[in-house]
Amino acid sequence: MSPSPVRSPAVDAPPAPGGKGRAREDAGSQRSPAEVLGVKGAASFVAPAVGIVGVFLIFPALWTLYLGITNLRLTGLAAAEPQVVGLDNVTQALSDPSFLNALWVTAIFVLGSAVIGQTVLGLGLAWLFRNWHGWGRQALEVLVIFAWIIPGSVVAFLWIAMLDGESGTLNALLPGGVGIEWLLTYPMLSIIVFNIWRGTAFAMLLFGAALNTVPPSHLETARLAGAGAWRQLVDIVLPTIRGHILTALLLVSLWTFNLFTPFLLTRGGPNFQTEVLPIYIYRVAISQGELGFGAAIGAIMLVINLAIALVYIHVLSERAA
Amino acid sequence: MARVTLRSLTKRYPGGVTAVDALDLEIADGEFFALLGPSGCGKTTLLRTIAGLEAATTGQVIIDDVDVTRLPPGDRDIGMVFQDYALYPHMTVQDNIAYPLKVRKVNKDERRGMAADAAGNLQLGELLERRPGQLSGGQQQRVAVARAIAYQPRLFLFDEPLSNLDAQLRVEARTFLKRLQAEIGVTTVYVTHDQSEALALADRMAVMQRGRVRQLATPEEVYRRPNSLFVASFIGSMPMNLLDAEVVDGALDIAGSRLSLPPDSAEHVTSGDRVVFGSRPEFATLHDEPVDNALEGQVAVAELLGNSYLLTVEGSGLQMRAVAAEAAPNGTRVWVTFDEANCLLYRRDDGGLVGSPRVEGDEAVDADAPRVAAARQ
Amino acid sequence: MTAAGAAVAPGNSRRVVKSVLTRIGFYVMVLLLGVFFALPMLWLLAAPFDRTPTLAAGVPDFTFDNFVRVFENPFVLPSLRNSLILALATMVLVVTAAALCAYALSRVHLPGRDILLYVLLLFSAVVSGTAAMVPLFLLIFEIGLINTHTGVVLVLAGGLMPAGIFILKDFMDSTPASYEESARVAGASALQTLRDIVVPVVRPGLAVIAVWTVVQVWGDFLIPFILLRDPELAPAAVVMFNFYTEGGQANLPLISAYSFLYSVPVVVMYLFVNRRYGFRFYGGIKR
Ligand SMILES: Nc1ncnc2c1ncn2[C@@H]1O[C@H](COP(=O)(O)OP(=O)(O)OP(=O)(O)O)[C@@H](O)[C@H]1O
Ligand SMILES: [Mg+2]
Repeated sequence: MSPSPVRSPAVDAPPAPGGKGRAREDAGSQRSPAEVLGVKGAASFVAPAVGIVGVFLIFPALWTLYLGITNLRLTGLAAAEPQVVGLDNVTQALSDPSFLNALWVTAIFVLGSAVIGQTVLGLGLAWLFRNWHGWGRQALEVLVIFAWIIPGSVVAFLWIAMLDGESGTLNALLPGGVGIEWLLTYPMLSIIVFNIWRGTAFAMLLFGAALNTVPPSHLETARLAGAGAWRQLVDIVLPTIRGHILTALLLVSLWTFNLFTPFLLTRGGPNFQTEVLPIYIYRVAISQGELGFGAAIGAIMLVINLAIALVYIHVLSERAA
Repeated sequence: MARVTLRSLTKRYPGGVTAVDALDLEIADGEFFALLGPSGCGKTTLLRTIAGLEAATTGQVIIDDVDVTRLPPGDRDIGMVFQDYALYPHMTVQDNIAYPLKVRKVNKDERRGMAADAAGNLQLGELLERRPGQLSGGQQQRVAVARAIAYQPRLFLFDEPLSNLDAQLRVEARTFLKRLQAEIGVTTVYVTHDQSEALALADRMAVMQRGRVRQLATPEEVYRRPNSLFVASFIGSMPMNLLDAEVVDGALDIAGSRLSLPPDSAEHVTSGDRVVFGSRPEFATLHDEPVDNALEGQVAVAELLGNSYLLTVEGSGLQMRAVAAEAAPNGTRVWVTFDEANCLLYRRDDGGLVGSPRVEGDEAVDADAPRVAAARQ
Repeated sequence: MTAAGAAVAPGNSRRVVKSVLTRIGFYVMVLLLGVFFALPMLWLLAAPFDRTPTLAAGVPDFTFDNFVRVFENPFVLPSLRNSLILALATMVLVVTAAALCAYALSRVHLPGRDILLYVLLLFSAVVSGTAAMVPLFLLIFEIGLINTHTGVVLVLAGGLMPAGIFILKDFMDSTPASYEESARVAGASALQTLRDIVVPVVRPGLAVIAVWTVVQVWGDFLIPFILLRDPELAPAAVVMFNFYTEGGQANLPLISAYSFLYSVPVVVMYLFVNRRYGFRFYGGIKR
């Protein structure tokens, strides 16, 4: 038998009076042997991640709110000594036609590509895939996922090439050889369809996972009662995956709302027709140097994000409960 | 080899649950000691506190006269088998068994030798290159035991090591464990909530309830003379007969029938005492005509046990169980007598065995006893 | 009998017609979806191998010349190297810091843990590079990291960290603590336990986070676009954009071959993850 590695002094005598009290003091004053890390160790494990997140995510968010009420500029006098201008920036924004335009463009973009496009198409694809395991399904699924993971600046150019007026693939396929400059003639439609193509994979994967949670016995019961695929979808599946649908709607809207990628296709043009809020902020703050005003728009975005996120977290905790 | 002493050991969880309550215990060198009790009574907590995985709130854990209460688990020289076996999924059986040796800086060749020995001891020789995921439940259990014995600790701790096995395998593994422990003679603390496992394996056992030891004795003693209603109702594969009774003129009155007092309790009771009469079904005898010292009733259910039957008899608001060689048709009138040497009397107020000292200030017993007794009738 | 038989037959044929129509509808739909998702991708497969690539996708006049010529451009290799540096540095930072954090949060009941997790969840959902563009730019400017890879790495790591923490915490939570406990009873130190037991056991989780981080950073455009001024430091995402927005005729042999080179790594990583671990779905892993 190996020698005992025990180090502490031997206790032969019965415990001294007050032994209990001493033990309790020990438990308070030194790290318990039971914990691998102890609270201090754990804190040091948590610190790097929390530090990075705190400085480069949380602090900028709070700072946006502060900057939003100053007249900070990139150059000039206001760059050196910014003044607090209160909600001036916000009032100015709300009366600025180019901001209102960006807000309107963003709303249509989010509604068309995220709320309607990606969610409906994602659900449709997941429904098509539910009992289909052939190579066709795999090929289509991989295509959808590739559209999602290939770098944004590459897919943007793929679409620029496809939609080109003179020699784009789309015009070549359309009968009559019409030379439509899609990105100039239908810019909004173009970025909406582009973003549906780009982002449907997420909703598809989410709904694919969701459909797995529908108990097959429920569908079989409905089939025995004579329900077709459409009735099964409406009566059984949609109510069961209600929570997932809400999750998809909220997340996809949130991301689309903050998406800078349309910039890669149109840079906001032509004539600001596709200038969504992220592009607007970039133009105002970085290109034109009006940092305070840009931050105010950022703050408005943060507040909208916050509203969506709170609903989302609420939905999550409802579902967990 | 090791002797384990617990001195008023208390473990209170941050939430306020006192899982182990001022517990005193002495486990002898080389002993196979079982901790038995219902779910949530603190068995796992006690075991983990001995191992050092939980810090004692107050009190001491002493191994071989050395206070190890504040030592980290690795310095206590303990081998432990977890309920889920905790076999490392990314290591082969060989590496799993050898890992504690590696931690102890045993060199590679020696390590392999010791691991192979332990594996051979548990008939795992063929499986050394497999991963835990490729083993059956019984094999995993043996690997976990092999890992605990390979580095020859002075104390084994087992937390319900057989509960994940199916019934038949469990009996085999039980026999195997008992033989193994007898061979290597290492002090063993074995947690289980299966009373038959504790009775089968232990040299001595403690029955726990709410963080306290209710009875500390050999399995025979616990089986034959449970010292409280709680233990009486908990131990035994067939529930003990527990009947409300009153002492009247040197005899027992049970629902109007007279039974003589068990000989060794006679001196501890006086007329008017309210007690609970206890006797195991295997010490009950059925008669098909009236006899003295019997309770009358009708057969309500007959269950085949194997080579005998368990009969449930009902009458005058009582329910009794008896083991009989032959079944009787339902509704048969019978008279039940109990083997006097194996009858026990419990106080109705605190649930203690008549003649045993009362436990001072222990509300747990007061609170529980009547409820347990009632539940059994 | 005959009446029943006669009644059944038309019903049957109607059902056959209906199921044939459903089949046809299904195939038409799948075909249309396939065309929709494949059409833009065709160019990426054809043009890089075409002797004279145009904007239209077509059967290539096969050649590898474009790939030889692409490296003559002074920006190609450095930009891919920059992308690699940013991706690997962010990956190492996120995987290490998130793993340590997730481990501590999963195993130790730190005071304020639930609040911390809530704050992380909330801010990771709310704060985007676009909404916080101005303060991120100013912050990096003020601490002197503008126009450095370090600045980009830190900002990206800050954004990716919370999701990394959540997913790894899920992994750690679903790993029984008894693995570590048994190692500790055997005498292993905290560091040994981490190295020998925890890391190997959660390796799939670490790999998922690593690959996910690399894919995210590899494709990210906005942060390097606003934080890096020096073209020499620009990663492929920005250089690609510059290639096709530069004035004059777009250099299609260059752009096509470059697009291909730039896309291949994420495709390979996807295939790797898909084979090795299955493309398991973690809510919200891609942003
Ligand atoms: N980590 C913990 N924090 C707070 N309370 C705990 C913790 N672990 C256990 N408890 C509580 O302590 C009591 C004893 O738990 P323990 O696990 O020791 O029971 P047990 O006898 O092993 O039960 P079982 O037979 O079900 O395994 C229970 O009431 C339990 O709820
Ligand atoms: Mg337990």
